[in-house]
Amino acid sequence: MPNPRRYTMDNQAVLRRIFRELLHVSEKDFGDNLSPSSVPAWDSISHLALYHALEQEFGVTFSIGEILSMDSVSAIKCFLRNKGVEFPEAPE
Amino acid sequence: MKLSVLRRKQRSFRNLLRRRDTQGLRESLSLNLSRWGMRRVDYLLLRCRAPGEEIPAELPEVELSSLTPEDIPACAGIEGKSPDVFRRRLESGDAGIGIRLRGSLVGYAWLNRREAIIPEMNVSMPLEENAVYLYNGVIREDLRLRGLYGFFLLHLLRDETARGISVYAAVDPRNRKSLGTHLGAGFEPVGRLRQTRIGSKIVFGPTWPT
Repeated sequence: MPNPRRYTMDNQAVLRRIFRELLHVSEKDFGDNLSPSSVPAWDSISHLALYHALEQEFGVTFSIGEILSMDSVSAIKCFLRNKGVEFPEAPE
Repeated sequence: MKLSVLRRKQRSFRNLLRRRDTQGLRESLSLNLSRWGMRRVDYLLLRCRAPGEEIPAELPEVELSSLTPEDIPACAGIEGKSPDVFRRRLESGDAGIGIRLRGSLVGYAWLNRREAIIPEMNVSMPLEENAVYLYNGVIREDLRLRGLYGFFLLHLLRDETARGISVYAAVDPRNRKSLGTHLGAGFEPVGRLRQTRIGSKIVFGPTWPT
């Protein structure tokens, strides 16, 4: 069973890096609302690469239901939080 | 447009084609065709001989298997096409591959080992030996862009190219997600399928290297 990263200040930075490297999303464009429709490079192949990178970087395993429901950054954070990976709460 | 002008244009295309003057053909077709009442459609012809290896082709609870006559109603339901379309494909010898999630059909694609046919363009092209044409890849609408088609493509390309078979596909380049998925899986552009129509009449439909 993988050992998830419980908390580091860097989790948000890791997520940003994954999106920058795989989906070419710049720092200034990164946000919780990003989705396949708003990111041109987020296609079917990129989605495979994305979930594998998330599993490796955060030491978690996703179910097929979670993989098929990853339709935004906020959904990804939600699934990661459920596995013990912490992110700063979005400002109200 | 006057018919005489139209015929002169057609003769010009044919002469360029006969001389294999691809640059001339490009320039001729880069005229403002809408001004002449013509419509132009381009598809990119893609080929894969060696798929990308860096992306793991893994999706839990997703399997690939051949389509059978029992799958035809599900295929028809996914795309809203007549079941006869799929029945004819199976009868013609085309191979259908089903993408199944927990046993349920959620997508499919078809392989033709004789020729590449793009029905939207009414264009066909004989295939070289040891080649296969991938067409009509579809995923159920609510599951698109979630890795299912990418998973299928990676498996298909790795299986076929391991046996020395090239895989061809034609993609409408305006469909950026489809193009990105194919290129990401290891396809490369090898040509352009271009068709010019005047009404329902096809004037010209060649392939040439990009």
